[in-house]
Amino acid sequence: MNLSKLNPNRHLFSRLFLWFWVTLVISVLTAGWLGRLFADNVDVREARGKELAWLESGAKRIRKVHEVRPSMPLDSVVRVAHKRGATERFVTYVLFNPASGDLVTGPGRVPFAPFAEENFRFIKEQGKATVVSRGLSVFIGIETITLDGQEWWFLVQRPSGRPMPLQKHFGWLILGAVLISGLFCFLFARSLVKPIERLQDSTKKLAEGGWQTRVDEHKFRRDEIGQLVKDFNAMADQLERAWQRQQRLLADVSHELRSPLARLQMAIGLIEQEGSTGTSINRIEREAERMEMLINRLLQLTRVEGAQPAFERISVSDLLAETFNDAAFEAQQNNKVLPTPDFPECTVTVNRELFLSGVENIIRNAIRYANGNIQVQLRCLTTHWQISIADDGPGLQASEYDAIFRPFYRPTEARDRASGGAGLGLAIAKAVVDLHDGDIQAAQSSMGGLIIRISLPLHGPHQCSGKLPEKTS
Amino acid sequence: MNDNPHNILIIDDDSELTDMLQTYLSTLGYNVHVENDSLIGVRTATTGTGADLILLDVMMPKMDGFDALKKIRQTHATPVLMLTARGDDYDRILGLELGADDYLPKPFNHRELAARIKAIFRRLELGANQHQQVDLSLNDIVLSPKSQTVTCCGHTLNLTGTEFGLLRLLMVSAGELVTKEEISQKILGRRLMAFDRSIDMHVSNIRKKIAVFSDSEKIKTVRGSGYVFHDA
Repeated sequence: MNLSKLNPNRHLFSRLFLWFWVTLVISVLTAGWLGRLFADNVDVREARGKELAWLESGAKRIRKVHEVRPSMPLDSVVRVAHKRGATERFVTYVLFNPASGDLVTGPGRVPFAPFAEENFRFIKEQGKATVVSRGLSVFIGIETITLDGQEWWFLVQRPSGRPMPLQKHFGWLILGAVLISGLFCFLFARSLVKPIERLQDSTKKLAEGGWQTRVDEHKFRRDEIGQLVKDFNAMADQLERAWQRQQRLLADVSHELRSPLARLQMAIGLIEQEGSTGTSINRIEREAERMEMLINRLLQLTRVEGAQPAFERISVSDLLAETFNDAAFEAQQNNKVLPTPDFPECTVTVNRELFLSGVENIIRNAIRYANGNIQVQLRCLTTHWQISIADDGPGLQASEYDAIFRPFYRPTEARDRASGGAGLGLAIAKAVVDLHDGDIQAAQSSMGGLIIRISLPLHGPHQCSGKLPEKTS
Repeated sequence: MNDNPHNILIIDDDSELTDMLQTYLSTLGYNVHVENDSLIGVRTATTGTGADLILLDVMMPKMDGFDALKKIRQTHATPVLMLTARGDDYDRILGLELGADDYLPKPFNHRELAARIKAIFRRLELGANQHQQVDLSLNDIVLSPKSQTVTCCGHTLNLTGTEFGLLRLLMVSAGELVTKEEISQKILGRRLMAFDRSIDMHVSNIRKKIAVFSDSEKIKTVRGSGYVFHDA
């Protein structure tokens, strides 16, 4: 797993995971502690054999130590007395003064100190040499000791039962609990985040214009995320429909404009036939033709953008030789030079018809704006192949290099309507390149004009992933 | 103008346009007959003396231009000029594949239309003047200008007027390169246009029809220049 995924600021996954885990660990620890604190199953029985011996020998030793060293403070007395009882390491001696409420223990301290008095009075009521198990402790008592004229209650406290195995391994248990809860929290966080990630893939594809992207609802549980997936699909449906409506409208408008345009052109023919000539009629005719071209280009654009074409494998020379021959021919008719490029030996995957229409638009553009020379280069790389078409025309401002691929973008005066462009040629080219999952860029050519570079994957578009190919320099 | 004017049949559902077309073409000296209904149009085209040329619109209700063309081609080789309304390369290619002689994207310039019609009739007349010419027999193909028929290995090929003219042009200069420019001028009656695939389409149609009866390659493509008919 990628470690950067653990950054809680950037990943929902780690935030969920850490929050749940920490919360769980804290609650386990608290619950354990509280459990120890309050576990109150009191069990009373009579002291037997060893227990009785601990109690009696303990009391005897304390009396003896106090007798030998009367000035010694009581806690030291208890400690020294405890040290001498070599066989009873795990027990704790407890001295309680019922009159003053003083408590002396050693070694260590007694749990439940705040409740000690109540505890001890309870044990005292049970009579002499009683064993009381309470919580995790067992008290054996009570033997009354009189020291310096004061009455003390003496008890032996030991961990419940034999030295408790659970308690001995408490650290390991906690570690195990933490690790196991970590595992479950990990699984839990993943189960929450995984569907979101899957949904995210689709959202990204949709955002990139893959209007057909849908998420399989059956792969999600019917929880809130499942609901989100449903809504996402509904949204994608809406978007796709809106997109289709727009495409349809554009196509329909273009279609419908053709009939009146055809009549208009025929009417112009009739007027000319009747003998009227003049600049106005020429003008009308020219505008009608311009409109015709515009509509043709619009239709071409909508067709490319809405296409779900089939792709074929074809060698670069078979694909492009004829196009560049035609281009050379057209350039020659415009008194410009377009040398036929060298065709590299490689096979590419394209939709031939659409691809050629895209390339044609770029070439026509280059021929239209070139002062005299157009240069074409073709290259095959390991994963991609490239076409670059350069002219020596007026070129463009660097700030316009992206904008020229937008429909109807009108750049500088140098490349304006008067030169016959409909403002759609490069938009069509871009739509075609996008369809092939390629990349198209404009830059300044070494000849001073514009250069259009196309880079396309050799094996055609990735049908499923929304990845863009590497940018070319 | 002409003692024996050519008959043009227009099949198009746009009656306003066909009215103007009728006036325009009549003024140019043609006999124009209009059918705004494609079904009746096809019937007219395939019965009686028929027409010398059919202007066929693609986008029509009831029966579209492609179906109409198929129907007509079943029985008649009348020259057909398709009016492809969609400006769609696919439409053009389909029209030519189905045996249209030429196409004109709609809307069109009236001069362009007049030129295309003239070119088709000139081709017909050329064919008519060839009645005296001898049959050409080369590489299993026999082309008879007199009867306007072509046979391959003894089987008759069903060629359209344009295909016939193109094959004849290639066979007359067999073994030599015939440039696309020359084909365009002589057969389609217009200058070769860049990015225009119609000649290639016509050649491909001829090849397909020959390929049914013969495996050997008769027409060779010289990439970017034109075509050569193999003389042996």
